[in-house]
Amino acid sequence: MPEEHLILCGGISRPKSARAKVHELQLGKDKHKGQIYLDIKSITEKMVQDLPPVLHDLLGIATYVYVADQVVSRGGLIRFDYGNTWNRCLHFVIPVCEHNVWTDPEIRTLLEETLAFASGDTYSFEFVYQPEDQFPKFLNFPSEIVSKYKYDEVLLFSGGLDSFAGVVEEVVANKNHPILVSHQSNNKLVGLQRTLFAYVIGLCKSGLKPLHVPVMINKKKELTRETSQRTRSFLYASLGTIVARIFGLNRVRFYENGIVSCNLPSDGQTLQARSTRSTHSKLLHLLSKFVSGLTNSDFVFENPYFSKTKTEVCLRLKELHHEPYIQETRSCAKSTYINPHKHCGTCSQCIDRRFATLASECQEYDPEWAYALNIFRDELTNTRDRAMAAGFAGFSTQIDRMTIDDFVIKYSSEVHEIARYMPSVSNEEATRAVFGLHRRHAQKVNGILDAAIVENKSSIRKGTLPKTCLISMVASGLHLNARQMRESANESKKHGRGDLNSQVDRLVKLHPEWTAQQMADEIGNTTADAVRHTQAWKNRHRDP
Amino acid sequence: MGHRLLGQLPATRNWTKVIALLKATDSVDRIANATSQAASHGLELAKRDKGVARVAFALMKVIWASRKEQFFEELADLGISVSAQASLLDVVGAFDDALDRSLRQAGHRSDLAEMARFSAVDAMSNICRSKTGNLFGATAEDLRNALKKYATPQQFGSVGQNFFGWFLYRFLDYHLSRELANHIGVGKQFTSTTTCQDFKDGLALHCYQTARIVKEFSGCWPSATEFREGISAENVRTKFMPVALSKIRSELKQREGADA
Repeated sequence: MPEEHLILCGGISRPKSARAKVHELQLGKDKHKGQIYLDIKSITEKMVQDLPPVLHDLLGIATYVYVADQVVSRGGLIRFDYGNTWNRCLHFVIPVCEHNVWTDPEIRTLLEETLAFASGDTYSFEFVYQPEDQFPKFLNFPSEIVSKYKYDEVLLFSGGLDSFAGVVEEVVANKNHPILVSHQSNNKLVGLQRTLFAYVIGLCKSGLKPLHVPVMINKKKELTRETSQRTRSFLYASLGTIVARIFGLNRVRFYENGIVSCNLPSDGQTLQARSTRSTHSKLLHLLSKFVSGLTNSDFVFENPYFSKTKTEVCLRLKELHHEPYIQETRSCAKSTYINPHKHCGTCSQCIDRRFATLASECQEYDPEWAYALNIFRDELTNTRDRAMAAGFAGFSTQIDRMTIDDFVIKYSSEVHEIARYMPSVSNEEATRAVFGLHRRHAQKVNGILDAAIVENKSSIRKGTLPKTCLISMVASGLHLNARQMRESANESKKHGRGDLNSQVDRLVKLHPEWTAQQMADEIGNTTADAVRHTQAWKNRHRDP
Repeated sequence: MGHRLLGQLPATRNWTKVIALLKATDSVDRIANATSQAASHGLELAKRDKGVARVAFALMKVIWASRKEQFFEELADLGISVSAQASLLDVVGAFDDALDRSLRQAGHRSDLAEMARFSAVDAMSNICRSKTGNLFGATAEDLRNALKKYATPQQFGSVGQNFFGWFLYRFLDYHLSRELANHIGVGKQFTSTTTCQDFKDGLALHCYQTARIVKEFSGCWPSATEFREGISAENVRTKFMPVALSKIRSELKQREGADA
């Protein structure tokens, strides 16, 4: 059985007989005591004070959950433990003001379900009443006051390509006045978001300018043992909720392309939280339901770019004439890269971005030198980098060969989970839309791969490309001569269906007691002819 | 962070053997057997995993429910709430949802339980398509008629073969996909990502064929057990899964011998 972790929050004392592993977390402004606090810009203490206490509680809970997510290790990505350590059991004891609300079974179940879906972990909560005046101060506000203007959208803004395109969409196309909520997990993001925000401000010649609300969580380095951070989207959504409620809004928008939102597995190892679900349709549905229940309103989280591929997001930016600023955005999962490289080039985000900017002909604004590694031509020495690149290319090749029925059967559970929670369409329409989205993505990716093969045809022929670059992995078979290709095809046929006679030979060896019907059944051809043929071949095989 | 987190094979003797084998051959029989040997601990865990048993039990219940007059009421009792006007995809989606809910309510979910959930939905979609001919445009009634055909001991075996075939494939791919990319490219076992995909397709077929060994057992066990003591998630866990997975394990071994 997996180990249970007990997270005691806000100074709650340790139970005498706790069988679980105990972790103590405390919000507060005293850095020396290892307390955790949030730096929130652009919102004043007074504005937050007007909020209902339940939202104060929400921010506290989201912060504790996010920090605990980093405190408890998932055990790494090498040992096979089938999720026993990777999918953790976390039990929280948290002080709250609105005890009645949080102990409501519906709210608590929704909270647990939302977090479980986002992170793949098992959550349980115990809430302890604490009067409002005894709550620690853990929010650092600026002193200047921002008046309550008529902002009309709240967007979650990371500084990536999609979220930047979303801001441009809102400001330029929809003529809205958005508030951009950002979580700044490191100092590099501060500069990046500041540059992009300055650009957005420049887009508004007159009237109300967008407001940027960056939030930084301050905690001791020792509290970071796990970096997967699958509950980051919950913290992000909670911050968005609070900002939306301050300005009387009932909607928060995540802008993320549909391929990443669906995040279908390219292979069998990315189960549960190994793939992010931060903008998955089910997560947005659960968040909407949870916050609506909490605030007694029709609150909604939505992703307007769900129906777009990343290439289409780039094309949309182009249509709005703001594609030059792609170069200022950053999609990479690793924050350690420094100038001139902004991107590692090998994580799933970088690969997706590189293909999208090439397919939308925006490469001028996403130059090769910005990537530490060019996956097309550079040697991929790391196993994970190879798996990521091969998985990305293999996934598109596979999708391209599939009918919609094949697609539904291959990804049945994953596709149902997406389609069931897509708003206002039937299951069949949603499934068709998800398939269409992936087909368009696959066609663009395959187009780029084809172009890269043509461009490098001489190197492929001469064999001068590194053996483990993406082009070699995709195209090395092309230099085989026709005979080798034929042999290779026959070989794979042997391991696949093969012909009926060889299959029967093999089965006679394996299960001599089986009838012809059983053999034909296994081979997958149960026509009367096949059964007769199997019987004849079987008899012949038995004759000396 | 990172949208997708990938792993590497542990540097143990058994996994080193699998890596060496991948360098030497693309024989699905040999690779499948070596992988199941290296991952034998996982198969042992799967035999007694409560989540895996819950899923297999739910699949049995849904198929048997199709024989009852009040099919939709029976489904509702299993947590699958759909109307008679629903489409086939609605019912399969609701089945997936019910499995997800059931696993969540049971507490900690292992990767094995998640693989079983995916495999059950794969199997359900697959058997429905084979009877209705199309997943789109089919109704819940079509699905009921399709499932009804499987609700006999003889036919239920096909559901079992489908389920275990998918489960075995997902189980082997869970391990192998950490390594396969190292064997793609010039001078490697798989000349390209496409040939690697062909290998995976061959592996899926091999798993389906291997699962043929549990067809009769899967078909007979539910009705015999129902008659004797009644089926529950617990006896699926303690009696059905260990036998089925042991049969599959020895069949993998035997098939490797047959190919040699």
